[in-house]
Amino acid sequence: MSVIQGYRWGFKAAAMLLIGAVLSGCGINKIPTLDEQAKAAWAQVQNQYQRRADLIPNLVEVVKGYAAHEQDTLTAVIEARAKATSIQVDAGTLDNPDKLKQFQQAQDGLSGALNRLMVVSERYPDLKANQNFLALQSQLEGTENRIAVARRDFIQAVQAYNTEIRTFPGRLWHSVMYSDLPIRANFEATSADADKAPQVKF
Amino acid sequence: MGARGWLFAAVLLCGQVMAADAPVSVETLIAEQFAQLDGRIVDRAGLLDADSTATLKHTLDSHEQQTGEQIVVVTLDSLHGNTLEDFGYQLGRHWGVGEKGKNSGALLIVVPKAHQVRIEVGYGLEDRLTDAQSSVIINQVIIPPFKQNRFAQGITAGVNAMVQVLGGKPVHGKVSQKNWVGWIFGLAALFVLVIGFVVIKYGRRTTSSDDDDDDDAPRPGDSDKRSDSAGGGGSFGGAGATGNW
Repeated sequence: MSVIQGYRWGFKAAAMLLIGAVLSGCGINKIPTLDEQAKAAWAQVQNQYQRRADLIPNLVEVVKGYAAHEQDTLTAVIEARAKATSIQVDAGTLDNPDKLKQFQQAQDGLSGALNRLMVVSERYPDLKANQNFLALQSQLEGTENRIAVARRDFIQAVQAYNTEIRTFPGRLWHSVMYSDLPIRANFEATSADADKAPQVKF
Repeated sequence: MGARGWLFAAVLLCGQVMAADAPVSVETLIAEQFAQLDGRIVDRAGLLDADSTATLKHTLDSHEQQTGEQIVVVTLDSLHGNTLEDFGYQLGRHWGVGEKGKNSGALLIVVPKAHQVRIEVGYGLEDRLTDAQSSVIINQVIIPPFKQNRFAQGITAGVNAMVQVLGGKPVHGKVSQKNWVGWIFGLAALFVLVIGFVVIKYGRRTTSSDDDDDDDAPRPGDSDKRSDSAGGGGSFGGAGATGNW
């Protein structure tokens, strides 16, 4: 009797294990995993944009010392920076396409203003020979490249997440268990090479 | 048979076209020409002679043994229409240069025909080998000899500078002369490391012979064939600097 009960218990445990293995094999965990990956990729995008914003005050200060005449260009950069840093998109508002679009537009505005500043600085040989300026310039170039990489990673992460939700069997899991996780908005490629770093020429 | 012959010729021809400078995606380029990392020096453009290869290998190996940080030198003839920045971080990720979890890897990539050089820095080394520091190394250490077509010299000096910076010594202009104190310390550290290894290995062997558990048995995932020259699983995020000459 007890032997039979022991068998039954063992059978139940085995069945549970089997169900667990089958479920995870079918990808029950895949949607939350991809969701977390997309969020992590977004955090990286934000970090890199923040890094760029942090570089700007120093850059403006150095350029000011050599090119005080370019007040308009400098003011434009400062204003664009203020606008870009005022729009924050955290993981909670990440699903909001309008917010993402605003964020992107503000950052693009800052990219444009920075580009103009760099074009202007070309006219000042003393500025271009300044060690501080050279260091900031290389940091800015590096940051633009990091932004490009982070954006590409984010775009891929969101694509993987959205594809999982829209295709079988992720679609089933989504309707049964994860209906609170929506399809994500992605960065829009405004031009063919929008996910590449803007060429900052000096 | 005739049709087959034509097909064969066509395939050959395609191969020829690929080998030329035709545009190819970064993924294809890496998969076809840089699939596996089999050493710390991947000199596809043939810029390094035997002597400088040996010197470089020594520098890179001893740095890796001391710190676990992996630096890989890559030279190639053509990027096949890709930017060096795109190629750099994807190659670093593909190979997994640097230790897993620490992402402590860096690449020095030289494309002589495009007159481009890049230092690609893994996530874990970004705070020491900064973009600004990489740019200084490229513009002040690597490019001057490159301009005179002395590639081996430029690459060796560049790697030395990278190693120095990673050891905590920034490069100001020229690379400083040999630092004897540093050498002695380095040798002493190496000695201690070697002794440590021997002791640990010996100690292990005696204990594992006592209990024949499966703990040390190789699992299917971790093969013994995986050579020491493979990457460690580090990742890259586009940090570093590019230079032209």
